[in-house]
Order: sequence, then structure tokens, then C-alpha cells
Amino acid sequence: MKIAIASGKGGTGKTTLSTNLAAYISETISNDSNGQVVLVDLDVEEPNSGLFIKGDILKDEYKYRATPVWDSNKCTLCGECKTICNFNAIAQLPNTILIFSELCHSCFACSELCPEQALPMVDKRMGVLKHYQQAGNLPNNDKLTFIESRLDIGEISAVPLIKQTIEYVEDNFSDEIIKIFDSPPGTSCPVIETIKDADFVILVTEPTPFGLHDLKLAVETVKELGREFAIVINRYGIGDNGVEQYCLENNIQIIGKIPNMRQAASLYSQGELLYDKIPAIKEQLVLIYQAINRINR
Amino acid sequence: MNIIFAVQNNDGWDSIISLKYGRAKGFFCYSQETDELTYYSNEENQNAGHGAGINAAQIAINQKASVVITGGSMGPKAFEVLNKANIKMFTQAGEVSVLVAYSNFKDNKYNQVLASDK
Ligand code: SF4
Ligand code: SF4
Repeated sequence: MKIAIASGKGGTGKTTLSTNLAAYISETISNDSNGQVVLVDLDVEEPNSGLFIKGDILKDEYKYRATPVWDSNKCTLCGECKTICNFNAIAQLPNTILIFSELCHSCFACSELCPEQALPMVDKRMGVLKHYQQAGNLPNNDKLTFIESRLDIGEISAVPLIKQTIEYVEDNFSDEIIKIFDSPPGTSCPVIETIKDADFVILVTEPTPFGLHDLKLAVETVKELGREFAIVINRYGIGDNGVEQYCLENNIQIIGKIPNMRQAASLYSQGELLYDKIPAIKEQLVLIYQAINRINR
Repeated sequence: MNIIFAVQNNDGWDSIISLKYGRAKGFFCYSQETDELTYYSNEENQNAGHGAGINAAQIAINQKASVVITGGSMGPKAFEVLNKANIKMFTQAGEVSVLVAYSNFKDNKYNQVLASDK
């Protein structure tokens, strides 16, 4: 089962929820011999789940994507390629074709349509995937696996790396295992790549007018993708009841309300998990996990 | 020689120079040989996610420009393309009219940019 944890913008508690929920689930299934939970940080431009979830590194591999390379011997400078590219990744100078591989989306169009076959696609490194075992904060916890991918500096498109990371997870873990995807912030292509095949999406928001504004955009995106979803309110107690009202009016389920507590902020800043130290937060995770199990059935 | 001016509006010699290059509203190309001033819209490019500078540089190359003049900045990718195409860049015009920018350029009041802003 794939659960994507997303939010309309960054800084709403996406990582807090992802890491604490994953660690909490791994603890509750500790006596189940087949139980397993996988936390995947897909916020590849700024992965930070790893600050809270440690573990022993099992695998560390580079990820590549294909970009065109110009063959000056074959090229007739017809200019097709620069016209075809939708991403402005190709410029034509009087005697040269310039390719900006960091802007290239690996769509293969230029390569396939070049009349001279002068643009072969060649693999280029885009980032690193790391796979940790025995993650989590419990001694001998072998239930939690943590996977994170990090985009190389200068790379502009996160989508190919997110796609390959999800493929890696699918190849290595069977369907019934709970997988928690910490999504990139926002509502653009990287988020869509993360949630488009999720079985369930949890949207994290703050109970403020700004939070509500971003939440509405996120809800639209999730609805367009036809995903099942519910809301978790983080820092519950600040702001107003606008988010709750909106959810009520639109028949959207709120499956958890994580209280706003100073202790939480200070633990977070020290890279600590919260649920094992703050009972009020653990209570909410219990409710969220119950909601997940209802959907899983 | 052909000279490209990045502009904020399409008002001939009275158009105001744009502070941005890749996301300028449009470009005027002035040909000293034929004394013609021609407008090229860049509006499609203004909203491009990435690579606006490359596209804008391509417009200058297509017009066989030798010089590009903007009001304030030149991004790294546009710089790279224009530099490789041996097109000289001048970015200190500010928000003056195309006419004023051209006369300042002719009077050697601008310095050629030799590195990108970033
Ligand atoms: S399409 Fe092929 S032949 Fe034409 S300019 Fe591009 S690389 Fe050269
Ligand atoms: S593969 Fe696609 S995105 Fe990349 S340069 Fe070619 S046409 Fe552009």
C-alpha cells in the first residue's frame, strides 16, 4: 500500500508526520514477523527525513537519465532539434548545437526526430539513492526501511529521479507492505509524480488562512488525479477553524489533529522524533494509522 | 551590424529598455545597414518555466545580431549561448528609451559584459 504525505507548500509538517508515522507503525508491528514499513523521502531537492530516521546503509547507488549528445560529424545544422524541444534545452549557434542537459526532460523527441541521427541519447548522472535498514529509533528495529534520493546540484527536473526511486521501491518491496512517501512540497510535476499512483494521500495543513489557501490547491490536484485522500491538521490550536469548516462543507475527512506544542518544535529542531516523547502526538498517530487500516481493507 | 534591444513595450524608438533579458516582453532588432527597426515578441517566453534565456539568446542569433543591450541583467544560460555565438552584451542601459540606449551605445558609454551575473 502506497501512502503519499503531501501539502500545498513546504514547512507544514509533512516530514514530521512522515517520519513519526513510519516509526510508530514499525513499533506497532514489531511482533508481526511479516510486518514491514518503508519510508521513502521523495522530496529529492531537499530530502530531510534522514535527519530524524537513521539506520545502517545497505545500498548507495547513482541514478542516471538519458540526455542527447551532439555529434558534430553527422549534424547538418538543419535546426529541427531546437524547434522540437519543448524545454528550451537546445540552442543553435552558427556552427554548433548547444545542449543544456540540466534543462533536458529526457523526452527523446530531438534524438528520434533528428534526420541525421546526430543526437544519440547518453546516460548522465542526476542523483543518488540511499537505502537504509534497521532505521528508526528503537534498538533492533528491523521493521523500518528508509530510502531517500537526492538530486544533484544544478539538476532542474526532479521528476525522473522521483520516478526511478518509486520504481526501485516497487521492485524491492511487495504491494502489501506499507510505503510512506514523503512528497515534495507544492502542486507541480514532482508532487504529481509522487501521488499519481498512491493508494491514499494524506494532505498536511496548518489551521490558518494561508494553510487553507494552499490546502485548497492541493485538494484540487488530488481530486484531479482521482486519489482517495484525507487531511491531517498540524499545529492544531493556532489560527482559526477555517480549515475544519472547509473540510466539513466539502465532506473531506480529517483523520488527525497534531497539537501545537512548544516541546514539539524544540525536539524537531534537535532532529528528534516526537511520538515516543509526547503522548498527545502518539494518540493522533494511533488515529491516523486506524484510518489507514480502514482504507487498506 | 545588427543590434538587439530587450524592451518592455512595443513602441518603436520610444520603447523602454527591459531590465530583464530572457523574460523581456520583446526585442527590437536594429540593422545599421538597412536602418530598419523590427519588433520580435517574447511574450510566449516570458512565462516559460526554465530556459527563457536560451530562447531569447536564440532570437538574437537568428537575427544575426552582433550586440545585445538590456537594462540590468543577463542570466548565466543566455550569457553562455551569446558568448559562444560571439555576440557582445551590454547590460547597463537602465530603463531608458531604445533611442537613448542606442545613442549611449554609439558614444561608448556602456561597458561590455564579460561574465554572467550568476
Ligand atoms: S536535428 Fe540533427 S541534424 Fe538537425 S540541427 Fe539538430 S542535431 Fe543537427
Ligand atoms: S530529449 Fe527532449 S527535452 Fe531533452 S533536449 Fe531533446 S527534445 Fe529537449
